[in-house]
Amino acid sequence: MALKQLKRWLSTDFMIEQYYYINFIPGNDFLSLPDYFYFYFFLSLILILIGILLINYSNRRKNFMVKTSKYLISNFIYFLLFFWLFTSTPWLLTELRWLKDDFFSFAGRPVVERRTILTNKFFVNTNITRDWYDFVNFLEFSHQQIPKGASIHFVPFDNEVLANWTKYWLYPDLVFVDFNKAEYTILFDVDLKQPPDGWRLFKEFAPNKFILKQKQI
Amino acid sequence: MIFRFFLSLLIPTIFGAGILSLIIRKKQSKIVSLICSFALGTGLTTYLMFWTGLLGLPFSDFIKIIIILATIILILLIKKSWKKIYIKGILKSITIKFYRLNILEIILILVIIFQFSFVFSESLMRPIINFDAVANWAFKAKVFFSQSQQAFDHTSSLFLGGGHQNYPLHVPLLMTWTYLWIGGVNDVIVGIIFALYFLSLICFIYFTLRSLTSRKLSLIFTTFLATLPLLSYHGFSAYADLILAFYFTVATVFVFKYLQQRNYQDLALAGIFAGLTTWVKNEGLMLVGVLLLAFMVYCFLKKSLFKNRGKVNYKICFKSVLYILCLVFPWLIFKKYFGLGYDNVSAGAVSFNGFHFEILPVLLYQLFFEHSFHFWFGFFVLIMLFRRNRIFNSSNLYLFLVILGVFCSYLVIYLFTPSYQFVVDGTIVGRNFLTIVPVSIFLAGALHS
Repeated sequence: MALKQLKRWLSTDFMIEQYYYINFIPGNDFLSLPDYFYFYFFLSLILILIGILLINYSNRRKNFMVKTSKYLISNFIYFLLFFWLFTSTPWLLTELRWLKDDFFSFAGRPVVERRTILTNKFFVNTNITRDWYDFVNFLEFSHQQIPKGASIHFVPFDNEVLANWTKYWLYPDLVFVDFNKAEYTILFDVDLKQPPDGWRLFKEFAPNKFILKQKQI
Repeated sequence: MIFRFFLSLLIPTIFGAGILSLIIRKKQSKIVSLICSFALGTGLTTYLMFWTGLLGLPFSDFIKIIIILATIILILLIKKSWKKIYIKGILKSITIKFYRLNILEIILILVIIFQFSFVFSESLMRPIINFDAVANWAFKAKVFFSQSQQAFDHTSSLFLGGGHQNYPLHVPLLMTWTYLWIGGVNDVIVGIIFALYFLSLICFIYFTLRSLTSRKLSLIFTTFLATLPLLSYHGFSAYADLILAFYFTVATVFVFKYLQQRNYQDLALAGIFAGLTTWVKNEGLMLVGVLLLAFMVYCFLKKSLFKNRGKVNYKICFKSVLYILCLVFPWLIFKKYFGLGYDNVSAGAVSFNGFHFEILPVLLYQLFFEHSFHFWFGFFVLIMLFRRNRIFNSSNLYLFLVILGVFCSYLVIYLFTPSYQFVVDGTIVGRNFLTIVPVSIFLAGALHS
């Protein structure tokens, strides 16, 4: 059990970048406790041992342990540095891996392609089961089909990330507005039997990815 | 395009150097001067850009004015044989005498260089896609670039770039500034701005620590800072938190320098940087409040502070506060006039609701057990315990009060306002505490001086 946990902990799970990393870089659990708990425990244990040695045996100056403890205390910051660098290795290796992957993925490619690669990377890493991998291409399709200057809305609007990207990437050619003010509505991954009243199908990218247009226009 | 982008950052830096030469007349590290010039230049450029835009002056005319100003400053500085002193000074500062380095220093330098390479490479490769970066900063920058007239028209839905109108505008306007230079929106190249702030922060901490302690110790603490996972991630993600941390750190360190050397120029500079902190994010207001409060508490606790020079020079202190107010008040009045408020989810005042004790374990978990700050907060507590005698005997106390003040302020916000929900979902703690990590590392380094 413990061995399995250790194997999992040492595996590459941590190295998979997630969209929320901007808010916090997560820790890992080992035997139902955070991995850093063991490091803190180890560090505290060493410090307590040193404290005990120094308090009880400080008069025995030739004692090896006492000498070592005194050395550690006087060079406390180097001890912390060693500990820091040692435990930073997984993160530094993660950065190296990202650097390598991103270099081969992004170098020399146009911005739209980079967006596709990056968004798909996050979709893969978050195990999105729906087919969202053509999202950027769908937006490009919408960009080409809808006349410039038109007002648009995005459905599903409650998917804030996708709605946010749509609003940003299509602006200023297409202006994002509320549903009741929009001339066109972009629907992504929506199973719709028939368009709502007052709307008609304008263009279809895939069976559940299409653009609706207001009938009045 | 790269050349134009480089110019877009060089021009404000020259502008900043001119302002800096008016304030600082004493000798100081040339690298620190360069960093301050960059920070002052970019900060003041976006600040002026906002007010001139509001007055109806087109951005193209504003650029011309800044270019003329920068040219005049450059000529004046060159006349003062600035080129010789400045360039030589910078080269001297960054020249590393490799034969004098020991193996540990070489390793640390390599680690720091690796971090710089990582952050710069990623910022050059990745487009902006993170949520807040897109919603709060990049979209606004696009609006300011494409429809600047609408962005300054309070009747338009695109007023101040659309959503979150109460957010300060340093980041989007700095992006717009670069777009204006390169002639179009490019959300890849603009990422370098954030990498430059990362570089500036690391270099600033190293060079200011270097004036207090040995090269080896300065490198050790700089390595702690440079290898923080969350900080390096912010180096290429186009969020404002890194820039906020930078301005706040610079302001705090200049107050600390003032307390050490009693040079009033440092206090003046701290005032400007504190003012610019409020121009990056709304949290900046709280941070500057803590900065001032910590200064007052420090003066109260250390009555002997001004003994050597007679009475407290209230006039000078007031002048520094005036610098802060000059930058803060117009923006606050503007916000008050349009009823924009300070809340981070809606316009209006910050509301208090209930007591959310449940955030405490989440907060401690986020600080100590997530990998965002690696072991820094644990180490910080240890260093404070080991060096406790040194905290209360010197101006280090001021830094300690600032850290304590910021921690308590965030705690109050988390406990009593609806922001508790962002603590629980993990979106706020890491980013908020990023602002005090550089100061805490600086304090830890200063305790070893």
